[in-house]
Amino acid sequence: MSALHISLAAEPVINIGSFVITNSMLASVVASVFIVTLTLLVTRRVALQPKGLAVNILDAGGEALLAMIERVTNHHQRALTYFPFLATLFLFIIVNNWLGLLPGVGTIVINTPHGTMPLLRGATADLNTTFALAIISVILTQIYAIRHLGLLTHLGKYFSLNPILLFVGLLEFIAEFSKVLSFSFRLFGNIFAGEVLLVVISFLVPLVAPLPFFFLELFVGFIQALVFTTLTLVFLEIASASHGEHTVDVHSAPASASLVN
Amino acid sequence: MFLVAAVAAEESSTGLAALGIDGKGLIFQIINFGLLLAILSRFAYRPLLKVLEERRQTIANSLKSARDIEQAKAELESTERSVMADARQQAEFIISRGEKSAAEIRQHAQTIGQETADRLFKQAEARISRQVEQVKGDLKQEVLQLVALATERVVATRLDAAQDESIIMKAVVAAEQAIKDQR
Repeated sequence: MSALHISLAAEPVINIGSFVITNSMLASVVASVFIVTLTLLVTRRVALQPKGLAVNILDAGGEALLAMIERVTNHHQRALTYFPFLATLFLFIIVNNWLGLLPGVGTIVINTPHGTMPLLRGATADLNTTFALAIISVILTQIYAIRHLGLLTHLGKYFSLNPILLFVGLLEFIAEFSKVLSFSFRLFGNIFAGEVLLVVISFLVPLVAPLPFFFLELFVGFIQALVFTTLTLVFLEIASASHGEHTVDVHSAPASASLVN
Repeated sequence: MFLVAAVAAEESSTGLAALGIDGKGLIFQIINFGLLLAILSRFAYRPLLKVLEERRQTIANSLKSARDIEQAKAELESTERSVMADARQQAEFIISRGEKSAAEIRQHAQTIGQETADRLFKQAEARISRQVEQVKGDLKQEVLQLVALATERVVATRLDAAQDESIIMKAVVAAEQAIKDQR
């Protein structure tokens, strides 16, 4: 039996010049191609009365997400604006979370100049991906807020001549950076820990024992995608509201938003 | 043999590099996500959102129609109640007016009937009186004729004064008896 090695970082698998492609990059590209192919195939058949399982799932999922955004924002037009970003975020995260659970991911290896490496690795089990998602989320939150409030009003949240408001603004400014950390480490921690758990269980009791954990990780993958998307939505809405106009109804947000661990 | 995940993180690395974070990987993932977002926004979400919007509009229109129908129904029911109340009121008015008219007509008919009966009664009485007078006159005439006839017969025979008076008295009595019998 080989030794059990856990790698925190994604492993390099292909070198294109000086650019190193890691297995998580490869997995995220595979996931993206899969998402694009699937959604393009399915959305062509979307109709007022959808037919077919895949079309119905996409239709119902899209409608549920749009309804959730509308409940949080209380604004239909804003919900339509946020929808593409949040839907992509959710799809990208959930597909990458579940991709890491597929047989072959992490177990099919290739020989590289750096040694024998797994060909694929769940992209969300790589901090680069989760950091990238968190940075995109926070930056887009700022962009939407500036579009909605205007640059000066938005900057007025962080900078003020009033010393107390200036201090509050400073805290909010720091909070924007902490969001990146909390977003990225939460998703990475949950998914990476889940994959490590499966690897360890599979290593110790290879046959039936991993099955319940496999289903648990499927659930965790879904929940983490939902949590990331919901928190992004809530931050978007909070950022788009001026001071004293925080319109987010915490009761209308899904319960999963409180499942942050 | 099951091969588990690969190589441990570089033990010599520190800070973010120890966690596997590097600038190129980060930028690659940002670009990858950006491309995915752009492609899906352009080719997937537009038709999906269009259908969702159409469905939303259809549902909203249906709900509005249902509300309009409900409102029209309520208004119709209200009108129906109002019309029924008016009709009932009018019916009650017509019935009471009819009853009143009927009572008046009955009263009038009774009065007219009474008057007619009185008049007919009086007319009958007058006619009877006239007939009685006429009968009396006729009787008187007849008595006179009888008296005359009796007188002629008496005169035809020779009578003394006592016979004469007795015959006259008998004729008078007979005449009175005849009048009584006729009555």
